Order: sequence, then C-alpha cells, then structure tokens
Amino acid sequence: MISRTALLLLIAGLFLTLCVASALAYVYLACDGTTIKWGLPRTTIHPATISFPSGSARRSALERARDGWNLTVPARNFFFAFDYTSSTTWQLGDGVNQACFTSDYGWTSSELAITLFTYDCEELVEADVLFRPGQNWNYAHHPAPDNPLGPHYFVLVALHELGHALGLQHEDRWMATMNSFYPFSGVLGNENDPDPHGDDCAGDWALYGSAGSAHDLAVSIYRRTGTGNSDFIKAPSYADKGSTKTVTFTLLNRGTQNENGYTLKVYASNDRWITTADTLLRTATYNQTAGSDMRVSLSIFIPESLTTANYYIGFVVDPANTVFETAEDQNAVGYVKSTIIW
Amino acid sequence: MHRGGGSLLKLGLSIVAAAVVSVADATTLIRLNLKDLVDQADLIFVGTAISQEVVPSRDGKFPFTFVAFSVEQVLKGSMKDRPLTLRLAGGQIGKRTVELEGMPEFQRGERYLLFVVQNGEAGCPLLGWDQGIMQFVRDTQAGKTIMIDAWGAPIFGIEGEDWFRGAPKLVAKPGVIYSTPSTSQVHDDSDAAGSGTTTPDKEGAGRAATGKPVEADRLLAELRTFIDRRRAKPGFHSAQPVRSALPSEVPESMRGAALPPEPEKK
Repeated sequence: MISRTALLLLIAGLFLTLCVASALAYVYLACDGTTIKWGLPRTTIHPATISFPSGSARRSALERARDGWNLTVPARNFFFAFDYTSSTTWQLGDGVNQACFTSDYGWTSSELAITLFTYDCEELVEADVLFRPGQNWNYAHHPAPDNPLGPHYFVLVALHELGHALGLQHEDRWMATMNSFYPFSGVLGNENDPDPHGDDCAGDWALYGSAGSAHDLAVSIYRRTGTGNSDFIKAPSYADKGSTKTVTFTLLNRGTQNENGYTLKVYASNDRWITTADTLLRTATYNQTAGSDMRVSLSIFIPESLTTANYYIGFVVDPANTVFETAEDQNAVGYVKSTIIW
Repeated sequence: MHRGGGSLLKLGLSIVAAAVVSVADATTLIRLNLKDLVDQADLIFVGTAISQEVVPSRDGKFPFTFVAFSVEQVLKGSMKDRPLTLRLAGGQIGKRTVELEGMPEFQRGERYLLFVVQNGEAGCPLLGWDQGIMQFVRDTQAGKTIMIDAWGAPIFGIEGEDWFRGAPKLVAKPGVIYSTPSTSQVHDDSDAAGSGTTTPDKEGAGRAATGKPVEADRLLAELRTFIDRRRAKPGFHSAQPVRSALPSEVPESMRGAALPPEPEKK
C-alpha cells in the first residue's frame, strides 16, 4: 500500500510538473515525478513473422506506421527498430516487445488493438502491441478519408499503438494521432499520409528531445468532431459564381519552431490533386505554434470567370516554398468530393 | 476509486502480491453511440463502488483489478450476484502507481451507470472502456444530481441514438501529465488573413451551450424508455445473467498465440 508520505510527494511532483509544463500539449505518464519513457531514445519491437509474413501487405503497413514516427517527425531523436521473430506466442513480462495478431486477449466489440506496457517507475521496460483479428482490416498505406467507418485501416491503428509504445497516452482535448477513437484525426496531404499530427510530434520531443530545429507545415481536411473523435470535412456541394462560400480545413505545424505569417492559398482544381497551377480563389496568412493543429474557416469568393463545372476545392500551405521544411509533400490537400460551380 | 495512489489509499487497497513493475494498457477504440451501448451490453445497472482489490495473474506478472458494486437498479439484463464484482485488466502491484489509459476508474462511495460486457473474460468489462461509464454528481448550482461522462461532460438528455452532452471538462487522473494547450491550438475561426483570434476548444459550444444537464432520475427514466424501444430492434443483444468475477479465477499468465490474420485487402 502506498504510504501517505509517498502519496503527498507524488501529488506535489504532479502539481509541480503541471505548473512548469511547456506551451505544447500531449499526455504522458509520470511516476513519483519521473517521466515514464524508454531509458534510451530507441527500442526494438519484435513483430511475429506468423502475423506479419515477409512480403505481405500487412508487414508493409506495419512498417509504414513505424516510418510515420521514425521518418516523418521532424528533428526526431527516438528510433523504433523492428526485429522480426519466429516465435508464435506472445507473453507479457518476458521483457520482449512483441507485435502480433492474437485471439488470446479479452477483446470486446469496441476494441481494435491494445498496447500492454510495463514500467518500473523509472522507465518503460516492455511494450506488447496486440491487434484484434477479424476486423475487416485494410492494409493500404494511404487511407481514403471518405471511408472512416468502413474497413479499418491497419496503418492508422498501428501508428496510434506505436505512439503508446513510445510512451504517449490518449490526448482527447484536440486533434492528435493519440486521440482515443479511430480514425485518430485522419491523414495528411494529397497522398492521404498516415503520419503523426503536430501534438504527437510535440509529445515525442517532450519525451526524448529534438535533434535541433526543423520546420514542417501540413494541411488536412479532417476536423475534430467530439472528445477524441474526428471525421473528414465535406466539401460544399455547390457554389454560385459571384458568391462567397466558407471552407474549413486544418493546418498543422509539425515543426519545432513557431511559424509566423506563413501563406495559405485556396484553389479550385479539376482533380483532387491540388497544386499551385490550379485556379486561385483566396490567399491568407497565419501564425501557428510549434507542434499544433489549428482548425480554420475561411470565406472564399467564387469568381464569375470560372467555367461551369465540378471542381475540387483545395488548399496549399507555403505555396512558394519559402519555409524550408522537413517534408513538402503534405502541403496540399483537396476535399474528397467535388463542388459544382455554376 | 482511481487506480492511482490517492484513491487507492482511500480505499484501503488490498495488495495480494507484490512485484517491482507496473503494467498498463492502452487501446484503440471504436466510437460507440448510446444505441450501440444499449444494444451490445450484457448488463446495464446503477451501482455504487464499495471496494477494490488487485490480484496478479498466477505468475505474478499481470495485475487484475476487481471492483465490487452495490446494485441499486438494473436497466438491462440480470445478475447472479449482489454485490457485483467486475474484473478489469491491469492495476497496481506493490508500491508502484499504475495508470490504465482509457480504462474506467472508480471512487469508493460514488454512484455510476455502467454498461457491462463479458465480465470476467474481457480485458475491460465496461463496453467501449470509458464510453461505458457515467458518474452521478451533485450540481450544486442547479441543486440537483446529474450525470457526467468519463470526460467530464454533463449529460443533457438523449437525442436520436446518442447522449446529448455538454462541453467536456478535463478530469485529471493521478500519475498522468496533461501538458497545457498552446495559445494558438484549435482555432475555430480565422477568416481574416492573419493569425486569427485564440479561442479555446469550442466543443460543447453552440447548441450544446444552450442545453442544461437533466436531473439524473429523469435521465434514467428516459434511458429506460430508450432501452425498451430498442428491445424489439435487430441487433439488440440479450445475455445470460452476469455473475461476479472471482479473484480465484485469474489466469495463469498474460500470454497467447500469435495468429496469421484473415485474407488481406489491398
């Protein structure tokens, strides 16, 4: 039983930690004032070959989720290594971080995956990532936004669970990959990339530090719809020429630096792949804190000069590439469905 | 009865065995609305948490938390045992504080509305984890007892197939660090070119801001009517009487077989 003194120290530690928390945002565990994380900024996960056979789409999706953390979080210190195992069993308490599909967990209808992690009040010592079989999994790397309740995209779930294996907890106050509920604030950019959001990047740096500074902007057509919940934003079904329409989207600053006065442009495009060659509808500038998502509503004027047709309305951040970013491929995105402009 | 230090101290936690590590789990959840909760639950009841006990698996490596509830009223299903004991995976062993991410937590003496599923078998016997728990609290301003969800959102009623909720209020859990939001996080409107104004998260604003928490007894009556309407619908699940989970039935260990998944879709 915990002693009263230890309890008071714990509460005091928690209070002090809360008082000095940075301006960023994320949730993690602490024990007697010590942040619970891996002792070194790397850990090895041993996916079971039987669940993730060589050359399979499921192995590829798991590795894409790993790369979402390893390769796309700007200025990252932490590294997930994979070492596949031929073991056909998993066990909590063996000191081995495993990843597999299993029926041998008390699954209920609302669960897709679980990470069991063990810590000793100083550091994480084991994290086993278990996936629930029979969930109509889809192993595509780039989840389609308009199908959030259809097949469950494994890559999004694996990205979320690896966030737990990193040491992050559920963050339900705003958009994050660590939201409690599938699809975890969704995907980024034209290619529907399943990568950590700004808040998740901030959590990663908070736990393991950052390797210098880096800039990275992105844009998404997802929005928060409730506590720990999100969905994609639907395009206006039509717009009259000469009228104004309000469009909503989410801007991400995944970099370590606050961004002041960066540019966003809104376009009308003949296809969903939005580029700066499309028809410009509006220009705006924004400031945004490092490691954050920001939902924006913007009114756009529909010019009389547009030919009557279906257009995809979309967004490009930093269209002139004036911000030197870790990745430029998430700077543009369009709504899933087109808008009739007449 | 949070499963962190403070609440456990209040409870007079019974530690059956000691170990040097803590175990927690964190899950990926599917959002459930009230219809899902009502249809899928084995048992829906109102009860008060009266005791808690942590028992490790027989190999001593994985804790299970047993929480006993006195039962006040049953809204769906039936039970074999009163009080009813629920078994939740994870907990605290020894001196270490454990936080179970997303796993419901209870305080002794507090009243809850609980949606139970697969008690004694499921890792979490509350359907949808935190989604399957509502707490009764006193609204001193309004002078009435209301219900709040696990995120601190008051319940205004039932609307369509879901709860009608107010704005959530952070319910801090012991041992969990919630960093503060950045000043520009979750902007809601930045129409003009420029940074826009800094606004807090507006969930619960608008229509929900005009709502009022409903008195708990009235809400329970609404819920009974809702459940009765669901009974004849497809998908409404009826279960055998639910029995208490027994500490003597903890598994030998937390282990299992790795499986090949079903055929892939590309």
